[in-house]
Amino acid sequence: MQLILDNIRKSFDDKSVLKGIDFTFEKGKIYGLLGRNGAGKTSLFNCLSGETRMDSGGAFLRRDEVSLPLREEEIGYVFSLPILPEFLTGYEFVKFYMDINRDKIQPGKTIGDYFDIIRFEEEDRHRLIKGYSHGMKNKIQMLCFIITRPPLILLDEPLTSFDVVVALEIKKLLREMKQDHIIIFSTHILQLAADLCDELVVLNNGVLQEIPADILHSPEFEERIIALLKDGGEHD
Amino acid sequence: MISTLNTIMQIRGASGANRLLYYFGRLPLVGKLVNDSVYSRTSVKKTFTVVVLILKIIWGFLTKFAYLGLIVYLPVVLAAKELTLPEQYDLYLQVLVLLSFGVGTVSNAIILEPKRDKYICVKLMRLPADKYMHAVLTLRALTFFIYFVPAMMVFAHVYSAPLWQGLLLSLLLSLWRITGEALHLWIFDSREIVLVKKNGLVWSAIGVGYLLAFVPLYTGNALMDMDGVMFNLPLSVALVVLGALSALYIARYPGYRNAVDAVTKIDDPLLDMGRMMKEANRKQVETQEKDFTSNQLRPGQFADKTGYAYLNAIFFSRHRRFLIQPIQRRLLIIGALFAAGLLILLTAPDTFSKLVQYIMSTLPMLVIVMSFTSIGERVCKAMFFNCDLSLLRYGFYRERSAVLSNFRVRLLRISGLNLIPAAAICVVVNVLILLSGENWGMTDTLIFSGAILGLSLFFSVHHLFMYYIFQPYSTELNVKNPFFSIMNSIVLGVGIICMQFQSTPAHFAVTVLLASAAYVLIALFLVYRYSAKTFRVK
Repeated sequence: MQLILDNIRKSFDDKSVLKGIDFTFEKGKIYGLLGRNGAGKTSLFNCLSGETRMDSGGAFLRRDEVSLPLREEEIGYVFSLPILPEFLTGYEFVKFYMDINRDKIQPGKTIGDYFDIIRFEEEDRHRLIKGYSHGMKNKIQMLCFIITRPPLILLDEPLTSFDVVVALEIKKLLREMKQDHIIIFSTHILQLAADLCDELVVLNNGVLQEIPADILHSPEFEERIIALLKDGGEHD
Repeated sequence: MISTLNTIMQIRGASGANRLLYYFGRLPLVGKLVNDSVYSRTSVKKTFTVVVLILKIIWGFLTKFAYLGLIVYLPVVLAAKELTLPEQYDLYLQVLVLLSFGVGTVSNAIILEPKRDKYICVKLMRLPADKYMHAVLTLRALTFFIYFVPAMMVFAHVYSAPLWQGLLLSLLLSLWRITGEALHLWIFDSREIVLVKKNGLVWSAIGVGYLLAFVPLYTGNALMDMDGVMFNLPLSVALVVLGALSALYIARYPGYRNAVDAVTKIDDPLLDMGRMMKEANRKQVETQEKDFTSNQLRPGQFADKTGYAYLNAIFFSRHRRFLIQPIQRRLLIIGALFAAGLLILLTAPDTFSKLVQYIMSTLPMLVIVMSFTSIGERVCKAMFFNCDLSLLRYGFYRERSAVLSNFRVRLLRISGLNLIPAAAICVVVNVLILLSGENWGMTDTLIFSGAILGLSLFFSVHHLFMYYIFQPYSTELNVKNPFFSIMNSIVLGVGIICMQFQSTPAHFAVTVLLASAAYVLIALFLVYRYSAKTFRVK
C-alpha cells in the first residue's frame, strides 16, 4: 500500500504555503515530517484529512496497482491540540466512537481492552473529558485510530505533551502498529524524529524533500538538517 | 514629556490604523483592496494614522455635543418646555452639574482606569509609569477642556446666555475633574482602594446622580438659581485654586508604578472587552461540571442506546439546563396566565368574555407567541459549542449519513420538547374559550389546536434547519453568517405581516398549517441534500 501525493497546492489569501507537494509514502514505515514553524505541516495534514480543501492536486491510496482517491474514513488524525467533546466521559466517547465504527473494530475487543492498550487508569475513564489533562486527551485521540485502524495515520506534533513514561509507551505502540499502516507524524523536535522514524521528510519552501537514509544515522545529522532548513528559510 | 506623548500617540495611532485597516478589509467590494501586505506598508499606514487621528478629534468634539444635547438638553426640553428660557437654563445647569461634576467625577476618572493602552505602554513597551501617566493626564485635561468649549458655548447660546459662561463652565469643569483625579489617586494612595473598580459604588453613584438630575425635571423649577451659583468669583477662584493644587499633587506623586500595576493585571477582563464578550457568550452555553452529579456520570446508564442516539441522549441529559428549565418556565407562565384567566372569569365575567373575544380575534398573534414559546436557538448554540465544534473535526462526523442521523435524533428531541408547552397552550386557550360560552365548536377546537402544534413544529424545524444549513456560529459564538440573521428576520417579518391579516380562525389555522408544512418539507429537503456540505466549523 502506498500513499501518493500528487502536486498538492494550497494558498491562503495570496500567500502560497504548499507549492506542489509530490511524494510517495510506503506502508510499514514511520515518516517524520520536519519543518520550521509556519512551514505548512498542519496545512498539509488538514488538506489530506479533508479539513480544508486543497487548491489543486490530490492524494491517492494505491493498493495492488489500483489507485483510489484518499477518503476521509481512511485517515486517523491526531491534532496537536486535542479536540474532544468535553461533556462526555472518556468511556462514553470511546463507546460512541466504537458504535459509529462497529464494522471496523477487531472482533472480541471490549472498551476495557482498548483502555488497557493505552494504559488509561480505571478511575479516569468515567470522568468528564473536560477535566482531562492534555496528555490524557491525546491518548484518547490515539485510541481512535487504534480502534478503527485506518490505513493512513497523521499525527500533528504528538508526544511533545507527554511525559517521558507515556511518550515511551506511545512510541512502542506506534512501532507495533506500523506494519499495517502508513504513519506520518510532524514534529520540530529533531531527536524525536531521528529516534522514532524510519524516514525523514522535510517540508520547506512549500515542497517535500526526502532526507537520504545515510544522513538520518550519521553523526552530523543535526547540522545537516538545520543547514537544509535554514537554506530554505532564506528564500521566504 | 512631549516625546513621551509622541510615543504614546504613535502606539495608539498604529494600533488604531491597524484596526481601521482590518475592518476596512472586511467591507464588501472595497475590502479586496486591503491585503495582508498593507500592514507593513508604512506610507499607507502613516496616512491611515493621520486619518485615525482626525477622526478621533472629530469624534471628541461630537461626543461632547451628543452628551450635552441628548443627555442634558433634550430631557430638559421635553420635561420643561413650558418654562421660560432662564428657568430652563437653570435646570440645564443643574442636570449638568449633577452629571458632570457629580457622577462623572466618580465613574469617569482615568487615573486608575484599567486600560489596554496603559498595559501596552507601561508593561509591554516599558515606558516609565510616571512619564506615561503625566503625559496621558495632561493630554486628557487639555482635550477634555478643548472638546467641551464649542459644545458648551453653543448650548449657552441656545439659552441666550452669554458665551463666556460656556467657556467658563468648560474651564471650571476641567479643573474640577482634575481635582477628582487627584482625589482618586489620594484614596488609592492612602487606602489602596481603586474607586473605579468598585462596581457597586460606581453604579450607585450613577443611579443616585441620574435620579437626582432627572426627577426634579418633572417636579418643576431648579432648586437654586444655578447660573448665579456657578458663575461667581468666589466659586471660580476656589475651583482654580483646588485644580492647581490637585495638578501639583498629581505631578509630584511618586508612586505611579504601583498605581499602574494595580490596574494592569493581565487577567483583568476590563482590559479586553473582546475577551469579556467571548467569555460571557461561552458561559451562557458552557457545560458546567457542577451540573452533573456523579450519578449522571455513572457508566451504563444509556447502555440501551448506541451511536448517535447514545451521544444525543447523553448530550440532552447533561444540558438539561438549556432544555428542561426553559420548558418548565414556559409551563409556569402558561399556568399562571390560565389561573389569572379563571380568576377573571369568577370575579368579572364581563371582562372575561371581552378577553376571550380579544383572544379569538387576535389569533395571528400566535405566530409571535409561538416563536417565543419554542426553544431552539440557545440549544443549537449549546450543541455547537459543547458538541459539534469538537466532533466536526473528525471525518466520520462530517459524513452525510452521520450528519443526517444526528439531525434526525435532534429534531425529534427538540420537537418533542416544544410540543409540551404547545399542548399546554392548546388546552388552556380552548378551555378558556369553552368556559366563556362563546360559539366554539369541535371543528374550531381541532383547527386551532392543529395550528398551534403546526407552529410549534415549524419553529422546531426552523431553528435546527438554520443551524444545519447556515451554521452561523464561529468559535467565539458570535453569529458570523449574515444569511442567518437575514433569514431569521424574514421569518419574524412574515409573522408580523400575518398579524395584520384579519381573518376567521379557521382560515388562519389552515393557512398556518399549510405554510408550516411547506416550510418543513422544504427545510427537510434542503437539510437532506446540502447539510453534509454546509454543516462545518467555519
